Amino acid sequence: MSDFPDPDEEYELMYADDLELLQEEDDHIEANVVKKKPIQAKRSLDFSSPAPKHLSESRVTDNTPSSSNTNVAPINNTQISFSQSLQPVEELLTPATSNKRTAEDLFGDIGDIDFDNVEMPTKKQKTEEENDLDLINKILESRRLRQLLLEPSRAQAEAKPLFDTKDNISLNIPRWPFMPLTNSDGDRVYVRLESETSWEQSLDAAAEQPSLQSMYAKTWEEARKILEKKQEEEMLRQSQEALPNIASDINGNSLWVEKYRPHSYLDLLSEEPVNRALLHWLHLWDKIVFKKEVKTTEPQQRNSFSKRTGQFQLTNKWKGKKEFGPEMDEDGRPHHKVALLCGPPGVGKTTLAHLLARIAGYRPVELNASDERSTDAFRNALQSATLMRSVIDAEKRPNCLILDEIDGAPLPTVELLVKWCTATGTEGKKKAKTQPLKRPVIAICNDLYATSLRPLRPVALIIHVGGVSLQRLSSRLARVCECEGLTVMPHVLAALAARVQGDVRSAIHVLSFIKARAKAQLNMEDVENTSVGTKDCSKSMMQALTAIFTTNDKDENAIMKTVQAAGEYDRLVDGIFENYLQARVDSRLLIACETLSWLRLHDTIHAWTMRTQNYSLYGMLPQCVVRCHRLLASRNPQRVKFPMQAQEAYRKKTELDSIVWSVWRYSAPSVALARRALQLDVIPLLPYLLAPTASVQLYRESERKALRTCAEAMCDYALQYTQQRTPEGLYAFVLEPDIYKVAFFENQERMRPPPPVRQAIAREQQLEMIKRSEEMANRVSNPNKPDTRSKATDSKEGTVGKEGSAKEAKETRLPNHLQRLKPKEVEKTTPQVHKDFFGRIVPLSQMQRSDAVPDVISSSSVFYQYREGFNNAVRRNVRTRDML
Amino acid sequence: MDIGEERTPEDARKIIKTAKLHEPELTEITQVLRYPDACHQNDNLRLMLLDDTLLKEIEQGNDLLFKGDPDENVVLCTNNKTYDVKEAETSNSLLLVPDLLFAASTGLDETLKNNSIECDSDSSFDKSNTSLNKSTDSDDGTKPPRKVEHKNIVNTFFTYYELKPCKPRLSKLRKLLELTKYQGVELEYAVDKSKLLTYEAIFDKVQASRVELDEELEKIQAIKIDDHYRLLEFDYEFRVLSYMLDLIEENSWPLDKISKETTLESLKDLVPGTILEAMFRFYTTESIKEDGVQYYQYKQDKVCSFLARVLLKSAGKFNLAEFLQAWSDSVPEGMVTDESLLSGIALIDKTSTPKVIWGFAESDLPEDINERFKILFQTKPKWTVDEISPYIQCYATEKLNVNAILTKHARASTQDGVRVFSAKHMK
Amino acid sequence: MLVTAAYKQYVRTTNKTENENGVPEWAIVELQGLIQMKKGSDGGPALVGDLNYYGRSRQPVLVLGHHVLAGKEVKLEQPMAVIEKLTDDSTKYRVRAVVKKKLLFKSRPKPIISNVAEKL
Repeated sequence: MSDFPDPDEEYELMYADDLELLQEEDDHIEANVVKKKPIQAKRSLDFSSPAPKHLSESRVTDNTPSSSNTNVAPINNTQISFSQSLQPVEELLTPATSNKRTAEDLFGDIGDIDFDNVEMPTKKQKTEEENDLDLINKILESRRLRQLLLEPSRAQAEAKPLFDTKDNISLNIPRWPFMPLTNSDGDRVYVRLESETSWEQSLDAAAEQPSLQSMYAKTWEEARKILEKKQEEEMLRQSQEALPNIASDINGNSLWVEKYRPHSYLDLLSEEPVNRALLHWLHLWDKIVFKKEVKTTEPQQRNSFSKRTGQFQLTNKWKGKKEFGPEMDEDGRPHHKVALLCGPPGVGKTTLAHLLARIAGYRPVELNASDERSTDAFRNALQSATLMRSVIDAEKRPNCLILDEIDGAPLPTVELLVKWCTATGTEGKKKAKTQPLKRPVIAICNDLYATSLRPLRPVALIIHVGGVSLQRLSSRLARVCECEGLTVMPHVLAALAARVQGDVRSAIHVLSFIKARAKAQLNMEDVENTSVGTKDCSKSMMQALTAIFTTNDKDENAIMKTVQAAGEYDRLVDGIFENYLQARVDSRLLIACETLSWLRLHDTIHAWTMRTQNYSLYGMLPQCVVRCHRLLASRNPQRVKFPMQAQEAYRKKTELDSIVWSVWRYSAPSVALARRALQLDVIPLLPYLLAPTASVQLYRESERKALRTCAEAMCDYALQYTQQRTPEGLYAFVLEPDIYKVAFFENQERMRPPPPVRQAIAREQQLEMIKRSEEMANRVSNPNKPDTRSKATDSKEGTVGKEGSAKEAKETRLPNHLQRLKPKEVEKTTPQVHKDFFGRIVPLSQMQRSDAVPDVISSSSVFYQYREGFNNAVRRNVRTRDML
Repeated sequence: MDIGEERTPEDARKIIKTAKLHEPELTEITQVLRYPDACHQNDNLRLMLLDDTLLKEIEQGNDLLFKGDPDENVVLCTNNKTYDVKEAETSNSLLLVPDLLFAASTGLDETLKNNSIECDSDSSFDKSNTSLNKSTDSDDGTKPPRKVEHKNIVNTFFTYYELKPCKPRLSKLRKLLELTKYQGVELEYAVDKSKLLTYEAIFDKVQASRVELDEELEKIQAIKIDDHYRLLEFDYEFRVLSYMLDLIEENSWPLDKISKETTLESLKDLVPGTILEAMFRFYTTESIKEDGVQYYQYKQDKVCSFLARVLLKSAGKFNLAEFLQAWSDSVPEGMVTDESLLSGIALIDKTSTPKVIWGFAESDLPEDINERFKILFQTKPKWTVDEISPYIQCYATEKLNVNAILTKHARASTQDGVRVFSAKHMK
Repeated sequence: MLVTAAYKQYVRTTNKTENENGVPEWAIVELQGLIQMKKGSDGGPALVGDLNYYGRSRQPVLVLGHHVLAGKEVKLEQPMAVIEKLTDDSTKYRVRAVVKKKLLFKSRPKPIISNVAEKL
């Protein structure tokens, strides 16, 4: 929390609701005289983890009441409120009355809170849940409440109520929305204003924070129910995902990853701009999803930031339309219908999506790789998300579809999604009113450039989720360790954090494993030895790799067993390849050469095996590895690197390939080329073609032409400038697919046109696309038009169906990239039409009279060429020789 | 139908009609311009603008002479004037048509007779349609066929010569005569006889009219010796002049009573008669007549400056005071030397101590004005107008005086309140 | 050596009056423009144009190809001599004529729209 950056003002205005909520927590904690360690606060927050059931069960059994007492004891001034809330806990079965009282105490000054409203969600939720879970709820509730209060961290959390008076009333002009009041003494007091929505959302958030429950006594019940609902869901999900139950086996608890999953915005480890980008996008949906919630404070805020940034005109526009023409609601949808989160595994994309969806007031519905993703199933899922609307609109929690691991989905599925997203109201309304997508869809992928994602990318808001910073990760790990009673030196944690390269999940897994081995502390060795990183990386492989590079004096032949046990010979070979130059190297590189020859043999055999599916030689593979061991092993302790490069290279290659492929696949037939030719000859040069030298505002004709040529070229190669939000929070035009990566590899910034030019190109290209689609439409409307194959380029155009008007367009001006040498037709000289002074056509007969009546004038063999001016200024010397 | 050669009156009328000209308004002769056969074309013709003088000369049947060596700019000379010839180019075509009839001679009388018709047609002059109709109408009438005359265009010109009066180009004359200076009978053998020039030879070579040439010959004191014009060698001239001046003292003549006869008689053994006579002519003017005898006096200025040149010729710089003393001693008694006579002959540096003088003759300077200025400013960086005038006076014309020349070729500045000129382009 | 061939160094112009009245007077027709021959016509004889005068204004009208040129009679500021080079032993120029007047056609020519009526 301490490293939570100061939110910039603009953003704060945007998400005032959410930030308020967060702020409250912040302020609250600062207000505390007794500062508990943040980790404990966290812990309390974490309590609402998706699997609290296990937790609660275990807690109930494990934790003794006395421990809670000792923890409660040090709290002094927070104690009051705590004890207040403690009472209802004791009167467990009648919490409502006491809750109400507490809430009154706490919120006494808040004039705008309507308790009916507050209660509303509760009721609704309840109606949903009550059907069959009533009894279970009661039991769970009692257990949970007890547990909550007994938890040491709980006590900390109890202190929070204090903020309500402190932070909702201010003598200075506060940052949050306020209403000025003047008391009898003439002092001016600023009371916080809360919109109903934000209040509801804060309740939602509060529901996720059981620590607050006891203060929000009034909302206690509903929050509890929400929680329980979540538990149910979580349980369901766990069973769905069939997670290995190691954690619960050992600890009688849920997976640590689940346990320490972030539960509030502030817990998120991902980069702040990323979080905000997604949250902002989710909020764009507010307008269409939560139709009823245009409230008094809202417009003011919206207006202010639209004025400030101009970025949210969409919302504004919607607001206007909402008021005057509700049927136009599809305009209220964000431009990007889908948010596409991409990033390396384990950084918390899924978590982020779930959490933010919840913060924004949605019920996350997740579809992931384990679900069936055939087109039909997918359509069902999508439709159900839409169909839910009518039911859910009545409630407070509409669905937010989260499509996890979408890069693994088949292409048709993705295409269906795209179609669904891009379907406009006009099209959809004919079938059903609910047809256009009205719920946010968050797609999550690892590889943004997966081929199947190609159609999705242009329509999606792409948010890159980067690895978690070392600092934050290690501090988080420290908290986890503390909670779990692991003693770990900070530097070890830092090493672990570095090791996992931002992969939070694997880091926590490592900790979990350590704990599972009943170790009480984690040391450097553990970190070194654990094979972290990718999910599917087994530890034994890393051990085997280490073994390969170390001489085993005890048992010479042990290596063979190790290797065979490890399996995954190809990865071992990768590891050898990556490390062999750090191992034994002689001056003449003989060892290296021999190593390579063994590796080559391995590759040959492996390839043959795979190709023929004949495993008769498979047994040879470990032999190769062992031979390498013989060559490379040394007694010096060798720090073996985990093989990453090969994968990295492969990943890069795939990425670049997919870029090339998408250019190749979608480029217009008129510029079609062999893929290799495209890759080698065209793409490296395209950036130059696409960088017209144009100053932005004052185009000259040539510059405008260059711009147009550029736009046409981009259309032809199916390139597009799309707006993307950069980590700095600015919108930038990014080329999609990014051929600069292919063209320049590392130094991608070369030749990129400056942003205004990109914008100009983007605009020009849109015009060009409109033009082309019109041509296409014309073509479709009169398909009988004879396909004149007179010119090579035109016939090529014809295949895409741009014959009619396209032909003229092409003929008039063929951009450079389409120009081909072609023979020029010999033009027939049409008889010249003579015109008189007034432009009337003079009949030929008059011009050439000699054939009819021999005309003395036209038969004259002279004609007169008049000169406009007269000049006789030139004087020349005359030499005598000229006269001779 | 060979309309290329001839045009029938019908054709001519047809053309008039087609061109929507109203035939009755026209005079009755149509002149058809044509390019004649190649043999009738004359490529040897030139056009030459004339001024009134020249026109008069031509009308009087006098000869005009184009003069100049092949590489010189040609000049045209009358008897007493010289014209610079330039070729002017025009963008218009000048068709030279001999015997072209002007309006006055194309049956004007006849049209005047038809004045009434003309008046009618005048009103419809601009209305081409009516005039067209009229012409077609009149076509039917029995009008006498038009007279058609064919006129040859002997040549088409885009250039013509333009003549401008100019100064005769006489610099060549001195150069020509320098080669054969007369140094005395005893040295005649050394003279290249082939380079001796008669008057006609000189006239042919020098771009000047006859009158102008004669003037120049007199000015440079060329003496006709045996039909050839000769200059006197400086030393020889001094010798002759010395003889002549010595006679004054010998005979105790007053300065204005020089006897020509006595002089010629006394010196006839020493100097050839022709030379003596010429010299006497150069240096004396008639003074008084006494008893029917014409007496002469020496041109004091000319004698003095010549003697100054003699003195200065020995080269080097002289103390000005000493020079002035020597100079006044050298002249015949009674003659007064004056510094002003030295202009164009010598330069005086009054800034140095003592003041010095040295010879610097105008006639020794190059002809080309730029070259001359270069030398002038090399010799002396700064000149007053009076100092420099004698050296550039020869370039001055009526239009272009010395000051204008200086403005063009030198840079003016003021030094100690005196306007001085220095080289335009400093090095 | 002196160049004795003095006759070569100047050109003697002799006016040989051709008739008793003095020098004949020729005329110049000055056109602001070029007369160009249509393709096919060699250097041979060719008719160029018809020159007429308006009786009253004395203005010349020249029909040249399919253009009509209106001109005027102009007295030359400076008369011109027509000199002809004669080459025998020495180069001589003979004054053939003087030109004192010219016909100047400097206005823009009007095209002839020919024979519409006749065609009909």
